[in-house]
Amino acid sequence: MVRKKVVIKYLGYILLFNALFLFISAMISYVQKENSLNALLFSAVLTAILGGFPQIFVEKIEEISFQEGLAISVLGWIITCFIGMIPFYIWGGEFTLVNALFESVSGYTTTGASILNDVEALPKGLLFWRISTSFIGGVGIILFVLLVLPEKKGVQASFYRSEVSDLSKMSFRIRSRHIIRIITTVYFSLIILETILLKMLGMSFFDALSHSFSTVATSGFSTRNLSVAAFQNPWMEIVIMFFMLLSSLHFGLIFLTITRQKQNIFTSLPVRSYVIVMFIGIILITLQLTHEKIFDFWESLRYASFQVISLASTTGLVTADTSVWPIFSILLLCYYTIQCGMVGSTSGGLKFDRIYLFFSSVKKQLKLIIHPEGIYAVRMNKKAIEHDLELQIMVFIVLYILTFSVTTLLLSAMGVDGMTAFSASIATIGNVGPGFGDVSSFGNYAHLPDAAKYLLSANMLLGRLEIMNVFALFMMLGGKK
Amino acid sequence: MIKSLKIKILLSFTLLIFMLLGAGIMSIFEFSNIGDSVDKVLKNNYQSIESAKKMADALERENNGILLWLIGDRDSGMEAIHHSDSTIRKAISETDSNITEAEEPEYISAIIQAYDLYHTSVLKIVDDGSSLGEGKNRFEMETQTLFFNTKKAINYLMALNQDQMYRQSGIVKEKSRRAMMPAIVSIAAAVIFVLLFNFFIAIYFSHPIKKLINSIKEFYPEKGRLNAHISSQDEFKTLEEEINNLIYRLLKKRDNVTE
Repeated sequence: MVRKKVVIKYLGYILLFNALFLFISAMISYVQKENSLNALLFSAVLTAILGGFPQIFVEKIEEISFQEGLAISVLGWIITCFIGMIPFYIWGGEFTLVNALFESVSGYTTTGASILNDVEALPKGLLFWRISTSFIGGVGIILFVLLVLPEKKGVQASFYRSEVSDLSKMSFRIRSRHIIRIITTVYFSLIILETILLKMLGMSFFDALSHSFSTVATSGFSTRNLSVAAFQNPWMEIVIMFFMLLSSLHFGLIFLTITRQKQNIFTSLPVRSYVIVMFIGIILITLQLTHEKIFDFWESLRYASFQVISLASTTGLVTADTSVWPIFSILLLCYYTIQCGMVGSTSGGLKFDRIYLFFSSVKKQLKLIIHPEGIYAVRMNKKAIEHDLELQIMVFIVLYILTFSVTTLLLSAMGVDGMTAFSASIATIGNVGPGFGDVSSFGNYAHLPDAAKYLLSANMLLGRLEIMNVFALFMMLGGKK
Repeated sequence: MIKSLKIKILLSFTLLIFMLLGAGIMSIFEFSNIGDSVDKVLKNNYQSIESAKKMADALERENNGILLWLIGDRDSGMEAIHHSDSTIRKAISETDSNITEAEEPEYISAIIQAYDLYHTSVLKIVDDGSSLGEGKNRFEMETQTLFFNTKKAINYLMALNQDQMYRQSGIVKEKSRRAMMPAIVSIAAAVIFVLLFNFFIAIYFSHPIKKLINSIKEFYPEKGRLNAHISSQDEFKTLEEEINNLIYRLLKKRDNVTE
């Protein structure tokens, strides 16, 4: 049974955590003497009040059930997205109700799709809030909340079960509390390191921090209208590419690599395959761009590498207008938009590990056709995958394809052209951000109909929550066992 | 952890008051901002437009004055020229003291420059005392062009302020929208707050009362203790304990009486 007061108490903690970032954004606005101060301060106070209210009534919780953890996790994301839109909506400008919601969902789910035509018109305080939503969403607000809450056995375990996928847990062999610490330590370390490097390469501190938040959270929000292309600095692009790639790998593996363990990113077979697949894409696109005389070889390599890594890691930062690239390159990039990063990282979407296991499973089925009596197992890093998990992955892939197919159909029904509808669907469910057609790398989602924006917002949330959790919660709320 | 229900309720209402106060202050602030913007539109831009109109009218009159002078009505002509000159200079100084836009000083100096040239040309016709033919010739060749240049410069200033006025009206519209937003958001937040409050009242007031009523209904002396299963540590728990103390005292008294 789900105890409502427990769910409300933890949702309150989530709101309080958001309020903290709203207060920081308001402080930036105050220092910069901007007109976004009122909107941010008011939102901060309101969020703090709504978050603090349940803490007055509800007593300390010693243990929560898995169902309660699931409800808190899913509802936490939804409520956070609604709270995140308040400062945008109050501030105004390009933010209508639907636009504010879209931008907030895009930030928290680390999608990075935007409805803004002019990002640079935003005051710094609001820009910081926008990028903060990605920072919070990158590692997951629930994990952040757990980090600051006092350690409680039952609470940690339930949240961990509901927030971290079974596949992701495979690279961890330690207690949930430590895993949360590892994830956040890697997350913060990458952000600090990237900020320092970008600052050294000549970015302003604000831009460096914002782009580090954006890269490590794999969100793709930029402080510039032209994204990374605005800086025209190949060294900055290399740094960002490196961190995009790193942030799309399993954080547990990164930690194991740093602590020089046997199992690390260099020995992991899925990581090797992931990098090889990306490398193949980069080479193919580079060759086509050079052959079609769009750029010379080195420029082709520069832009192809950045775009492939950006889309495959689900970041969505941009250095070139990919909508004008040849169709073969666009289709390859579409594949990376579907493939996404690896489990245990900040990237969303389908995840490369699932594709890897899908093909391993196909291989197993083919062997079973030849040797029906044989016993074969699907393996990942030499570990056999349980049949239940294998089935779960297959169901997830089917649901994923079904969801973006339905979204594509619905968008087409709203009058959106085929390429835009398809790429917007895969870019939002995969939490990638930029697509092709009208929502290409230098374009945005502003011109889409309001209904399409609501639909794509739901898509982003489904992608971030890995679909199954949402359906499970609805089933639970519907009273089905 | 707060145990007293009284304090919990007091804190809840304090939070509600803070929320409404915040919304109220923000709306007042935004509305006063609208007032400032409207004031800016009316006082500054509109005043500059009026001054530009005055300049344009006076310029036309000065031009009529020189034409009157050329056709022989020299006194009326001179009077019109001098009167218009002082009107234009006054309007220029009014505009100069009411600068609202960054580009405005540039526009004003362009008017001054153009008008000085025009006025010098007019005075040249008058001072030379030229014949009708010569004067008409100079007027057509030089003064008329300078007149149009000055008029153009005045029109630019007027257009600048008109544009700004249009932009300001957009800003006022946006600000009025912003002023409404805190109220709308607060209403939504207040609704959520009330729903939550209602939920907590049900959990922490109605349920314990019901539990106490049911346990009292089902109580009989042989049980010894009343167990209402109150999980909170507030006044209801104290009440449950006090009822048990009362039962204990009553049972003790009864046992004493029986002995």
